[in-house]
Amino acid sequence: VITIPTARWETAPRPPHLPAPEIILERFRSQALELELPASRRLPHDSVSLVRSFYDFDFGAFAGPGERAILAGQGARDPFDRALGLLREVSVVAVTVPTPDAGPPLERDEDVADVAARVAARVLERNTRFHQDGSVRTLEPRHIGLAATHRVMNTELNARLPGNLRGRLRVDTPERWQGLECPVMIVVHPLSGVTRPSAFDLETGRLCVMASRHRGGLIVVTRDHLADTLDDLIPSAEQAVGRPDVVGRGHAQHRLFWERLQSGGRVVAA
Amino acid sequence: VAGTRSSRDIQHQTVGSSPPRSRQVAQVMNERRDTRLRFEQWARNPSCEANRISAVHGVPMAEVVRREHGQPTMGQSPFALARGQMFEQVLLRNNGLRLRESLIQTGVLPASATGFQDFRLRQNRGPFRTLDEAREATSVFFKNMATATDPGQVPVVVAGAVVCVPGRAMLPEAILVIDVLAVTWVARRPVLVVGEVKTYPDRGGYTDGAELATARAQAGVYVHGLRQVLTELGVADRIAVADRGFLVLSRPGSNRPSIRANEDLRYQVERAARARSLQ
Repeated sequence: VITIPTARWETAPRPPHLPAPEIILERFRSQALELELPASRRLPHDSVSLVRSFYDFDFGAFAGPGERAILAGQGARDPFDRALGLLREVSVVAVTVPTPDAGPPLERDEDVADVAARVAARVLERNTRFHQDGSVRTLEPRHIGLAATHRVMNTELNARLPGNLRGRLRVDTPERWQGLECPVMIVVHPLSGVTRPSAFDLETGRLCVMASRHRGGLIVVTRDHLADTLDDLIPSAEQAVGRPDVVGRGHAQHRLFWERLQSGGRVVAA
Repeated sequence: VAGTRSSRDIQHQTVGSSPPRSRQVAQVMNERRDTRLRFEQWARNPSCEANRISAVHGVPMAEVVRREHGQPTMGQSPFALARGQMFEQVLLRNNGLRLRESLIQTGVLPASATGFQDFRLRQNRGPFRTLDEAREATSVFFKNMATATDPGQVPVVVAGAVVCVPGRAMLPEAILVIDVLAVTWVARRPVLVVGEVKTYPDRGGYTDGAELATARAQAGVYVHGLRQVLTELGVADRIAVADRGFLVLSRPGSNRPSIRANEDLRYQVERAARARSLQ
């Protein structure tokens, strides 16, 4: 971790504050042998098109269309059940929470945490099954993961879970979810509650990790200001000369991700 | 914003105390036909009504402030304006020799690149009297470029190209004056690379981020506008416009250029397209 200002290195040929693999690849790209996996083994078929925009290379899905599904039993007609019902047809859905007129709370959003925890509980209450590669199994607490970008929010998520589930579901940051997977993931969108996103907020690495941990279904929970926030934002390319436009790229990727959910009718208002 | 603008911008600055107010306003309104600055002004703060009135109707913000019974305090240093003009003259004199050499050194142009085409106005030491004349000549230039098959037939540096972006309800006449275009070739097809000239010094990682953002936004507007114009001229399949551009800054304490090549403009082009689609 570099704790001093890095502006002086931003335009250096080998910036010491950037990851070494990135610098080495940049310098020796023409000599490097690049091998790409053709498909994602983890993700359901329709999730790949949603996640692919986060990457600079193309790939497909190992799973064929309809080979995986989250099948919830009969439930009520509330928004949580509607969201779970959608997971029969598609692998990614979103649940939005109304944004208060005075603006959303910062970092620790109790309403959003409550919705995410209730969704997790509802998945188990409805005896939900995971259909994968011809086999079907009933989901247990260990098959459900929760993620939020801030530790304080993860603490809130854990606290909002019913007592019998607390500590039995993995709740963690995207950084610690890297390399892991679950049949069902419930995540708090990184821009939920962020009405004026910064370059840090718009960096899509965390959303990319959160949106690519599930083998069966993903439920994204967010405040409903998200679409307006992204529409209203005019990204400004303030990076140092020669550096990539991280803000512009992040904004474009966030918009694409959310627009696809919206246009596909996958957003349910809580 | 002293010291940050090229003479392209200086055409549209709104200060001056000697002419009578009505004449001054008329002059400024005429100069503001170049809608690039208005467009960027609007895009910076689209929700502000005063800003919208100023940008959409081409009314200088100082005039808007007066109408709102305020006292405008804007202005530009004459020294900064002179510096901007001098920097551009140094770059473009002798048929753009210094700029061309710098573009070759930084790999924007190949070593064999030659030729210079000037569409600047007389007030900026160019050959054209009015924006309309320069725009007409620019259109003819693009049409000729579309029929060229050999890089030797096309000048590699183009200064002050003037294009008129197809109109919209909000900005019916969108005239853009593009600081510099570099012409490269890929697979026997000319590719226009947009360059933005700024007088402020290149201080590496310490160069002001907000200033760079404005320069990139302007370059993004040019790329978007050029693509629209080439489509309207029917030559979009023969001439490409690169997603990457270059910045021409000054070296600290001198009028020598510092070229920053390979600037990523993709998302600024998207931003320009979005902003225009909202009009």
